Amino acid sequence: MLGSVSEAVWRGGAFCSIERTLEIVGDRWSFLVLRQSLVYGMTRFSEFENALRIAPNILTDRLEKIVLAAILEKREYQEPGLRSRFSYHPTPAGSQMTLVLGALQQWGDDNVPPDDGPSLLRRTVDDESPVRVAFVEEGGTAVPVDRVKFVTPPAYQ
Amino acid sequence: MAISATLEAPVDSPLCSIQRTLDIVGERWTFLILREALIEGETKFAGFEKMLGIAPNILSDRLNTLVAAGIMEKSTYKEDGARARSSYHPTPMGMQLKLVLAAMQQWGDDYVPPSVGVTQLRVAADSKSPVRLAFVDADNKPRALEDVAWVNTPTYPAEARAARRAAK
Repeated sequence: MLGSVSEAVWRGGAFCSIERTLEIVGDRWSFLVLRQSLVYGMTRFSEFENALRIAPNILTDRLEKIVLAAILEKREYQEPGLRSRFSYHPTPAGSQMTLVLGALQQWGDDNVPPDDGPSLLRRTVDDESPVRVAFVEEGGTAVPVDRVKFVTPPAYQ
Repeated sequence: MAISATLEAPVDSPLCSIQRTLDIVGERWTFLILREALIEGETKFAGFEKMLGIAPNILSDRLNTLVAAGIMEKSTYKEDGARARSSYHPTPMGMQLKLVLAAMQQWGDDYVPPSVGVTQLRVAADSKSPVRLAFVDADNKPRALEDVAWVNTPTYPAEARAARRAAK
């Protein structure tokens, strides 16, 4: 049924893109590090540390994983009179993670909003009109969630 | 005084919707349980356990969190000759998490695909045409990442964040 894909590997999830993504960013801190980088434009270790109140060893671990996966790129910088340090910048692949953050944010806005409503909005850069995350059909119009299904390609049936 | 009191609390946690969502589903097992429920249609405890190879105590814990958050609804079923057992069904608000799963799936498809290629596609249920996840504007027109910006509302904790940034 699974062709040459062994049951063990299948169960291990290596063939599921959701799981492959989760292997890189599947924990709360990783998502929050990405939020600081992609939404707030932070680049420096100390900025992440300050904003998230995250233990430096955990931050180092998550940043290393994210750099290894080429989501963020490590660069060296040096301020006058100080030793050189590293900064972290989103790659083009990393920037696409913005959509994952947008989806998490929108669900939170819609279903578990803070008392005074959302604190941060998604807007178009040019005319500041509201932006939602949606399924889009080829050719261009948004498709409601209940009109989308997930199917297995013939090779895996 | 007021500022340091604010700083004791996780400054942006309760106000940021990304973080509020992550407080419920921000963990690998939870996402995988949701994958089985929302995409594969699994409802039975034993089914989740088998497909994920997850320890029953962890599964139990994560399902309870999802039920408490109103993402899944618990009901009971009874098979002939067996005792009554629990099943778990996504609520309408739980169904909306498909967008989150699809965002992770699409990113994985695009940037870390398995060597044998993508194993599952997203298609429109009626026309079977491929769908992608995208930012869309008020007219439902897809917009490029560069066209989207985040703007603060009046409830955004700007002062608390500035204070934290300035803190040594």
